[in-house]
Amino acid sequence: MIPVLPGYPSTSGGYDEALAPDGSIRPAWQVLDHVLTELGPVELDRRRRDAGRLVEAQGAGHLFHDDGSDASRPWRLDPLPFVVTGDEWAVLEAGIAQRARLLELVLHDLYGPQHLVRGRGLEPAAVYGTPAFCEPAHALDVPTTTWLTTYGADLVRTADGAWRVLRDHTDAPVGAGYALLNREVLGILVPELSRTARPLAPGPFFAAYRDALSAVAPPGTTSPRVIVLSPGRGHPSFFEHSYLATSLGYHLAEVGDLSISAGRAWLRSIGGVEPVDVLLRRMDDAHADPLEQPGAEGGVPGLLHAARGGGVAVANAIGSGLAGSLTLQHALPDLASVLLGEPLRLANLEALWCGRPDDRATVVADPSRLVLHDVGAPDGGCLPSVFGDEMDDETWLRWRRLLEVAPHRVVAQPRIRFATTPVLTGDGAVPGTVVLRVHAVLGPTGITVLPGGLGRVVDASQPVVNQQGELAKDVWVLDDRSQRPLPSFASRPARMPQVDLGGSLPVRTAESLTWAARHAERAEALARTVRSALGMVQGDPTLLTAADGAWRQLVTRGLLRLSQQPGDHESEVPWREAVVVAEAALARRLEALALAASGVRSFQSSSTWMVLGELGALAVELRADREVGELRGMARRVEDLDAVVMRLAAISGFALESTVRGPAWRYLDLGRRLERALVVLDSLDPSLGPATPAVVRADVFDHVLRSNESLIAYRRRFRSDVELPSLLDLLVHDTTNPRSLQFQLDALREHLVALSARDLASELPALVDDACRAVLAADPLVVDSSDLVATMVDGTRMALGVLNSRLLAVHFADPVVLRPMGTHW
Amino acid sequence: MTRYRVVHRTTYRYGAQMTSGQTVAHLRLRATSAQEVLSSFARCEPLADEASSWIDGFGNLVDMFVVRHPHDTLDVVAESEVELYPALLVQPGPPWEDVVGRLDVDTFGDDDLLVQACRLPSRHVDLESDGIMELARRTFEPGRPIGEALAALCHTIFETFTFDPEFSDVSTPLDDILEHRRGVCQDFAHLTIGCLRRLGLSARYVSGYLETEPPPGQPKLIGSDASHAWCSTYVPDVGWIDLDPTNDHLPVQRHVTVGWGRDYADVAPLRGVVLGPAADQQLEVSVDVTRVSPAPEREHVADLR
Repeated sequence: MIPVLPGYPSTSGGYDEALAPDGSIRPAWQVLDHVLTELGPVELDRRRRDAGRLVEAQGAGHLFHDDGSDASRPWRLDPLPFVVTGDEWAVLEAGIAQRARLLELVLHDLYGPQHLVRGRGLEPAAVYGTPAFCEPAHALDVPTTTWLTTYGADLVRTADGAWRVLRDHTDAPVGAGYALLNREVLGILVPELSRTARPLAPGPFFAAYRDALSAVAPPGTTSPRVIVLSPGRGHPSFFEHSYLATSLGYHLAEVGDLSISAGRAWLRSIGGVEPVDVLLRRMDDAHADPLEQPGAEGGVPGLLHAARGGGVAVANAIGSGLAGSLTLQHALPDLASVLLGEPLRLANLEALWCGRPDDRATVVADPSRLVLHDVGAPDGGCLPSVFGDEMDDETWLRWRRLLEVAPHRVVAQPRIRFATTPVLTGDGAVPGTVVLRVHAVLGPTGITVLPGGLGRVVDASQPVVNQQGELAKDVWVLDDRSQRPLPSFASRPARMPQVDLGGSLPVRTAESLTWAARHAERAEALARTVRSALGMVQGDPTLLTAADGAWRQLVTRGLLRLSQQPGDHESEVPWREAVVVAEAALARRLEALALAASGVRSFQSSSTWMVLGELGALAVELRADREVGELRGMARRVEDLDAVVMRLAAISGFALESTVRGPAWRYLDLGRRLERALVVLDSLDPSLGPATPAVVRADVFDHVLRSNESLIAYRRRFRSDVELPSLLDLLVHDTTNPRSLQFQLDALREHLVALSARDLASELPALVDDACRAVLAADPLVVDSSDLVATMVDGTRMALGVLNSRLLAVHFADPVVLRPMGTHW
Repeated sequence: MTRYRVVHRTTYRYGAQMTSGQTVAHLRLRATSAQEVLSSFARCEPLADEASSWIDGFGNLVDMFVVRHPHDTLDVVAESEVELYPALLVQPGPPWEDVVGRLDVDTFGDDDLLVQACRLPSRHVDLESDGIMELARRTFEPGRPIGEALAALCHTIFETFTFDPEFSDVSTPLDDILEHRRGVCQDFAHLTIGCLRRLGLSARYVSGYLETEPPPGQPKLIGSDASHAWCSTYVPDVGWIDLDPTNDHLPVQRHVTVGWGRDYADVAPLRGVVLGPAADQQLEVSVDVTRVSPAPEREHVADLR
């Protein structure tokens, strides 16, 4: 029994990763046991609760989608790693490498000469009868094609202690990025463990990954440009796409950013288009190219033809998913001996493929001890996997029908008991089943297996394939080799010439940077303004009623303008409602910030991600309040808003201090300046001035200055009661106040001049001048009139509106939208 | 030998200027044992900025056109000249179950992979409906010679389904065709293919044309004003036998073949994407297949000088 895991069963009947049948602790667990005992159960549970926060802080837990759902809140992390000894891993590693080699050969044959099918080493229906077979890829098999660059496998240990492969992933295997993140988080969470146990590091795997991607570049490419190609922000694995791009040091592009021309792939960048040699493909085979694949959603039209012509390399090659089809599993042992002349080292679960009459008869006769899988119809529709003994009559009827009409779609595997491992829950450690997603890359010098991988705790009462996996485990390989110093990333000599990405910026990245900065700025203004209003009321509750509520009305209108709440701003909105509206707007902006930032991960420091994660949590708080519809204690609110302001200040600090002064920084700062100019305009009520009742005038001006973070500056400069001319001087015209309107306009002009290398954009700086002229219309030294404030605000807002729409059109707009041409019979 | 000239014109009117467009076309005729292709060209207007062609996995000729300048109309024209050999008569042949048995165990040389792929469901040919099996069983009685059964299936579809171009489009499922007993030649081809595959036979989809105006005294065939489609089944030792359920033809006559695949999706005449603003697209298709007299043999003229 493990002292630190009280209550963990000393025997579960089957193989357990921590405990031997006699109750003694297995060698791999001894080092863990040692450290865990020192930590103690209470501390361990505290770390467990911290784990969620740490994963979220990386941005993984807060990827918001347009429809408001957060489908990619992927996992919690168990602070207990899944440990494997070096000896055991060596066997698995060799088995994984062999399967990767085998499946590469299978693909070369199936999309090439097809000897395996002609000689019936594989039944035709096992190949042509799975939707994973990609007919247009057929002619792709030129000698230079590498089918698999990456390979993933789901491994599980059965109750009798043997390792088995559940599935091969050859299409666009997911999980290597998640594994890297888990390792990072666990290092922060339980540093004592990693220091003592020293699991094999993932670094060399990612170095091999880069080598492998460079190696598949079209022949003759001396300095290949590689990008990570994602289907887009709505994809459930988008987080990993961006994490992987950042870790590997490549641009992340979405399918709409690429076009095909002259047989090559081109990336839309701010300087025009740039050629791309290698695409690390993250969208599925079936959705790679709408031109040649009926039913493809998204994708890059013409990609298949360019790939066939050898002008661009796609990794994995389009069609590779075929090798992972369950319909091939039954044949793998024979294929290993035919193609490799070796026995299969790492077996998959025994698979009955019902395209074979005998297997079908077995399944039909008694499905009770089997798990049934459907590989799917040609259009992708399929029956969800089921346990044979848990089907109701209707379900079995449907399977029977499928077994009659399209038996080749059905694969059955025996339902087996899995081994157990300690999983930490709120109720202590319990035995759980873990499926390992392991990864390999096939590079120019051989196959490299990621030591460890992504562990998913699965519910053994459900078929594994149906499960997303909400609790993750990091997988550690403990090896004597780990006592040696590991080859370091940085000191490795670069074998391939490197492409400097410094001056290159995809259009979508530029747009995301701009929007991230704008959302951050608007959020900061909202938080500051609500904070100022609440703070002032807290100090003097009579403000709400003084002078017939004149202060209250001005502040309320300001909050609504800042919240960009459409509607009639003249009629009075209750003060509390205005506060709630502003907080909701703040929450929306924080979510939009997280979404925009998720697309430009590689431009932001990891500290930025920590802060964004915390802001995500605060956004949830703000939202929760709104739903409840009641105001919490004032002090608590003010505290939350202060927390938001400070974190946003930290983000703008990172942006200022940690971003190289290239085009990326210019777009980031451009967004911030534009939004801040609009925010200043929102803070100036048209009726500011003589019409403001004298009793509250000082308080109104105080609030406006506080909202713009300029109260201290004002007091230092004017040492008098606040007056409109001096207020306007500081907030509008002062070129030295980084919060003034004129300051923003000057910075905007500078950025636009620097960015307008292209003819199209040269008109933009002139649009800033229009705004400047409108600003001058309200020179406080000339007139003190409320009408002129209104004129200035309207004129400037209009000029900035024109600038904004031209900016979007010239710098960012998708030139056009892709749509299918009509079809006819 | 009969010689035909085929002109197939497709016009897209986009209703707005498109920035660029990419089109993949299955329009050029392939040589077969039943036809000799004298010439076959495809081109587009405006002229393509990039064009390429290749042979797909089924042996069909594919063209790709890319227009990279603003255009609001795209015309794709294919012109071909072809000579058809006289059709062979179909023999009654062995019982159809024997054919299925041979397909299960034998391999068939160059045809092998296509024969086997064409026994499985495909994108437009779903085998799960009960109606398919019922229709198949009605004509494929136990022990019936394959040739007879095929003729009966062709005839049943011709008699019990109504040709109705208004009823269906490329996305209409076979179940709807079966329920309403209406459709066009592509639907009837898919239906026949479904019946044959459900029985374990192999059936491929054939895309092509019919003569537009028949010779005097012969009826105008159905489906002659647009692309036509029919199907073909494989009988070991005999080869592929074409049958046209829309016109109740077995074997086919006056049919010009463009290409074949598992179903429509493999040989759609045109598939494409355009980049541009949303607007109402309009599509117009015209097909003209005319009989031409073979060019007279050049007469030998003696040199009288």
